Amino acid sequence: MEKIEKIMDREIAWRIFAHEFNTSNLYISEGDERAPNYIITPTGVKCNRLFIIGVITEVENIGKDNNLWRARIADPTGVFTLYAGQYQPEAAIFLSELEVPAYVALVGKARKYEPEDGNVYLSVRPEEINAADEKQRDMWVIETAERTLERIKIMEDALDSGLSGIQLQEFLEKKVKNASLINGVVHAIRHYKNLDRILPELKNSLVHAVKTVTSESGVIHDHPPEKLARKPGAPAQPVEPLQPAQSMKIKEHAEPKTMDKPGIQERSYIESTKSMAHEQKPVETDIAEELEEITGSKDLKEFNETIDVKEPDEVEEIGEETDASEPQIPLETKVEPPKPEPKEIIADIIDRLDIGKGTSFSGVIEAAQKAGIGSEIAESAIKDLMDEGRCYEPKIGTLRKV
Amino acid sequence: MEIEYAPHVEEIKRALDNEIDEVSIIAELKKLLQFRVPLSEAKRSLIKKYGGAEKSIARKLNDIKIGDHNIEITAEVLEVTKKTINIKNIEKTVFTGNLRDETAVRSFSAWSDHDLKAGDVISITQAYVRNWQERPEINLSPRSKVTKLSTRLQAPEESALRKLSEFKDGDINVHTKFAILSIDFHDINTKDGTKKIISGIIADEETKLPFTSWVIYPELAVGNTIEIKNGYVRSFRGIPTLNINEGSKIIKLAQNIEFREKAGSRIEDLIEKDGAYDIVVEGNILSIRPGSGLINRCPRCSRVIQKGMCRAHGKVDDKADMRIKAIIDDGTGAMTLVLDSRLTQKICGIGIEEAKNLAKTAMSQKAVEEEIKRKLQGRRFTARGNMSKGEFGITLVASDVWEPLETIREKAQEFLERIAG
Repeated sequence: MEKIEKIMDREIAWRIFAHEFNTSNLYISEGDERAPNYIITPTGVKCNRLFIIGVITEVENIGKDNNLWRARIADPTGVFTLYAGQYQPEAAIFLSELEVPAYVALVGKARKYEPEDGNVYLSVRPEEINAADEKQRDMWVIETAERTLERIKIMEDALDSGLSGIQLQEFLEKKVKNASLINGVVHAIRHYKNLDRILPELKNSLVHAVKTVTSESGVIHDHPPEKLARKPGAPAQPVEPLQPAQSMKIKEHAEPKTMDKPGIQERSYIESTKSMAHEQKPVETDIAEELEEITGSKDLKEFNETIDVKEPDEVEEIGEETDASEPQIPLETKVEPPKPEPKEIIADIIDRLDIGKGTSFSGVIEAAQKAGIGSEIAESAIKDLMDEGRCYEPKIGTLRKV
Repeated sequence: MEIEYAPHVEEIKRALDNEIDEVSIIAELKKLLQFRVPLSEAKRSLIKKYGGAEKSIARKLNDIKIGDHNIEITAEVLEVTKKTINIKNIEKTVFTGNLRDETAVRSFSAWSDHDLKAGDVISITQAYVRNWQERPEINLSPRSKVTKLSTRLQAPEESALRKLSEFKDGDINVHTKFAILSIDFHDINTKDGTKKIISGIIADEETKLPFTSWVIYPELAVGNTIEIKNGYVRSFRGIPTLNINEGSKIIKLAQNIEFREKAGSRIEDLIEKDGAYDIVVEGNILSIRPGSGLINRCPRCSRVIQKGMCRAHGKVDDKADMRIKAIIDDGTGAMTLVLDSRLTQKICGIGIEEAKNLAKTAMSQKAVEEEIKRKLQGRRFTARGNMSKGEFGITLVASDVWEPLETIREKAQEFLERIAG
């Protein structure tokens, strides 16, 4: 007897920690282009909508026209990346006015961004966003831990049964009410080959998360002292490891951008491409399109090609944040210069390049890149300079000093 | 070619009482098929043309579906009530009630008397099935023929004892035990004048439900514990309701059944049911739906109206009201939560006068909705009320709503013990 998912019913908003979300690397889409795309997590959540209460640690405007915002929203296990563009005006306004760190409650949809380099980035696109408080966040952590533990138990039962496919589905129908979860568990069992490692790791992250919200200081003492909880007072920094042995794995999962490292990271990358090759239909690339639309610029693309930058802005940017604590990464992608500097460097660059008739926007970005400034930072610096009246754009793509 | 058509031609002939000769039927059928008319339509139009009626298809009540037409039902009439309704200023009398066969009980309605009485066993032809409050309802068409049968439906065998939580619309021959929490007497109209019935609330250990008794059994009194055999279940306003009639057997028990309310139901458990009475859920308000906040109602019919124009009553002096339609989601499922103005004020602190001021200052009614959103979205609430399923999805109409107690430490402790054990 098959349970039928009713279209009429509102899709559930799943409670998932960032760690589990970012560990996911199976994506499915059903039916035509307009059908939702799902991320299948290691506990079998077939995730489209999700509900998060966490701390926004960083908000960045990454579009030229103020209409694409990226934010990082942290829970005790990791960080979700959030994009709000022109089609989420309320969320974009909310983010633009936000003072970080801030507690927020977010209902959003899981999105996958897949630039041409073969990497896959998971993010959340907001549907509704609102201010929250510490108690709400703590309650969310406990509830999310409870829901996740229930799913882990289902996954363990499914693994113990040794069944797969239709038989597994029939087995699950006897104990699980949510038809979408049944379907997700069947997918997850088939796809995730290292569940014997992932599930215990997830359980540890649940314990860590729940302890975090009940401890006085947000510091969990049964772990090495540098493992700060993501309390609002704490500086925004990379996800703290749970245990030394797992820390790297988790961090790498949580930060899928650091693809150039060995180990599990590579493996999950291979798995994800494999699963995509086998199961993927074309997926939504709205963020990519938005990015392209906003940067507008063939210029940027050309520029990327000409100076042989391997990663798109996106990757580089996030790489910078992650790398701050990891000395093995080459300097040029790592150092974020002190605040006033990029603008002044850019001003110098424009000064140098503009020999009377202005200079090309892409040329400035290129020069900035050589000086170690990411193109997004360079762009926002140019914007600042324009705002300050120190340079202007006589026509699109051209900059002149004043 | 002819052989291919033979069974269909036979069917048409039968429907026309063999009054039309086979040759012309074949000729006309062929012609229609040459026009590539579907076979079923070709048959139907031929039968209609010669004044015949397609033979009704016999259906059991459990198998009927919304949209079925020309079906034949053999069933017992459980009750009939007579109502006068007003359609476009014309008074019409409609007879409604319940029919039961050996598979299920369903409601019916008829626009003429047919001389139906409770207890009659009848056969109805040319009936059709309409959607009534999201459930199939037998309708008698003007062409329906009602034949009273002299046989009685077989008395059902005694069925197994069931919990109130298992009750679904249409269930017959139900056998259960419950305590009576409250009762109320009502008058209803029948053909033979008014009649008293009892309605009220019953409960077993974990579920509360409404009930209706079409007979005044003295055993049905508050505080009594009752065992009932051969009752049936009808959905009323989306909530399963136990019905008791002449055919039911009522036994007063010496034991006590004590209802213990669950702290809260998981939404995934609730949404499996057709409806639920007086339940409690706890979840997050994820979204405030359009149409929340300050609204205007028609003073006569309470419909929500715009610009003082009512769909039924034209230009009226609208009455300001408040409500919230929200999505509540507990991580296991989601449903629409409806709060009236009293509950809106309770959790938002905005009364109707304040809301009017807010709207006036902002020069937009939308401002109230936005304020509500700012106050509620993402927050956690406990709500009590009745859950039903309908056209607009699953809805919980709240009778109360409040913020749950902060029990973070206890819950955390409990969780850590569970995951360790």
